[in-house]
Amino acid sequence: MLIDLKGVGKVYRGAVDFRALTDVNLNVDRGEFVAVIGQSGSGKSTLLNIIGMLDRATEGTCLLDGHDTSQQSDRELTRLRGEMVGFIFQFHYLLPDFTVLENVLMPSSVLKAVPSKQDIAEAMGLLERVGIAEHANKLANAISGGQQQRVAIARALARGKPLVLADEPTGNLDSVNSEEVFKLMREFHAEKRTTFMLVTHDERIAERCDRVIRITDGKITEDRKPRTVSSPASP
Amino acid sequence: MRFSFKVGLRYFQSGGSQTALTIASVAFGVTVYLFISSLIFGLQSGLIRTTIGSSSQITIEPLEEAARVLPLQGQRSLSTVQPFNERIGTIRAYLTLLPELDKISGVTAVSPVASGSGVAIRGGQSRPITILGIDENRGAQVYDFRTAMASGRFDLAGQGCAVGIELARLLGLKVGDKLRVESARGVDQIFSITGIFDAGNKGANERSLYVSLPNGQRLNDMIGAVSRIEMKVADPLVVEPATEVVRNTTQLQVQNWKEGNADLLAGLAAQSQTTGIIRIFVMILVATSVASVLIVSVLQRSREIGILKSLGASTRDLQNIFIVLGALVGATGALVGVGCGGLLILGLAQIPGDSGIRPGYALPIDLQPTLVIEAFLVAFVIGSVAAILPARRAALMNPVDVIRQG
Repeated sequence: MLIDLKGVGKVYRGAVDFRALTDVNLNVDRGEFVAVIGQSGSGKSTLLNIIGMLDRATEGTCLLDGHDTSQQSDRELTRLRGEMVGFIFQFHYLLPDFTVLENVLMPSSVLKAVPSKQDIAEAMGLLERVGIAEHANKLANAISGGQQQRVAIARALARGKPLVLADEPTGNLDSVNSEEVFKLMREFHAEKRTTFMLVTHDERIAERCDRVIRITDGKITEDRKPRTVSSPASP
Repeated sequence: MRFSFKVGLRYFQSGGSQTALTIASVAFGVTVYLFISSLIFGLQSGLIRTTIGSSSQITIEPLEEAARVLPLQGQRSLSTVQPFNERIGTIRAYLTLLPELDKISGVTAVSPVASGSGVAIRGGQSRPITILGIDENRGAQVYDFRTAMASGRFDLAGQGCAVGIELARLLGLKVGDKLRVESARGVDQIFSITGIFDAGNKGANERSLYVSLPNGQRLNDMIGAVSRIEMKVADPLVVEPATEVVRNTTQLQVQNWKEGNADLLAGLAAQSQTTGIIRIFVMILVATSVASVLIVSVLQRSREIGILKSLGASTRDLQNIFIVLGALVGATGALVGVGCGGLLILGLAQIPGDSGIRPGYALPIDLQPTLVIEAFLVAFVIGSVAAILPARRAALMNPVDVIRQG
């Protein structure tokens, strides 16, 4: 089991405390392709951030590949995050001062400053796979939004990370690019058996995943198979 | 650290006009730092050179003689003691003292002087003078006669003498002329003018007449003795240790130039303090320039900071990125400042004029290589230190917040 959440809760402290998650229990196996749906403010992104160790739960335990992330130090979480989790965000968030290739190599650079030839070959392979190889040496902000999101997918998959957390990855794209990006994620999932957790507002996208989790007011209210079965070849 | 350097360097390269303006600001600060420091340094060293460069820095004189009061037995007495006004004290043991003084650490020159007052007479004119009998070789180490000679040469052999340029003008003297000298002790002698010097001091130029030590001793009636011993040290600003050793060695009256120039020292100290304050202001300018651009940079790059955290960059990595950025801005600004500012200052130093301190030039600028290195290091260190606060701010950003705000 890759993800194992037990009784996870999250309260944001402030002038008025805000409870984002309540008693979340969730198991995700390696190789699953999971959609997390729910209304804005329901706690979807908070759940993703806790699983991705960008945020800490205030209650419960969160095991990632057997590591209890609620007990780890910040330094240990940083290391674990770098090794295990790739992120894809709604606004693609590439580093604009770096080239497309450097962006894909960034997870390697963080770990060892100078990427190896193998890292570069892997990054170029991923860029070819997402159809951006010819733009490898362009600055990241010199390519279109759809292309940037594809680069973000390549970056999330670099170094063979077992888990990709995607927060509204198609939310900022037109329908054509949305479709292409979703197809790419499904293809990578099929090829590499990478675990994907995908937060989305789009019910149609969610129904093409392998498992659908609905969050309402910080609680998991639905955990089911999709109503229509999707396949990478015919999304 | 290599990762932080790589990212910091890229941020620096892509900083555009914002970074360029900060570099210009740091460079301006470094230029001001260099200019003020080199000007004040030149002024101070010039003043010291003018005041003590060609004169004694430690002077040994005989102990003052004082009349003793003889108490009347069995009676009380009230007495007033007046010092001797006319008697000139002498140092009789100077020949045994000289080797001892030569050996003192830091001492570069020791010169015995037989001095006394007198009158220079030429034709119908006479002028009051100070007759200075010196050992030519030893004296040349205390007084910089080679550069001070207006005409002729400093040759006191036989009946040779050297006079100040003002005295020569007042008496219409030139090299080769004869001059009659009569001392206050009633001894007179005819000398031949071998050289005319400019001591850079009106009083000295108007009254000084140098003769050989034996002639000075004879004229001043101090055969086998001298009236004082003059000394120079390697670093005039650190004259105290040698003074102390001389005091302990001679048991005579010893005074260094600092003790006799309290006003000059107070002026120099005030100048140093002013320079220090200006330097602090410049450092604040550099620090605020670097810090402000980094604070803006951190805000502008908050999303990227969040992304780097999500990619596994540690708090320290992020902090180091902005410290590297600050150090690069500081170092580049310092290099530009040292280069452009240095050239500008060297150009200003060549403006002709008369500063009174540096003959022939309008500004008494003295740009030392150590000052250039110091200015570079100060800007570099201040730039790096000023980056710490914005860097910590970047490192402590919550990636969830900055990504969500994006």
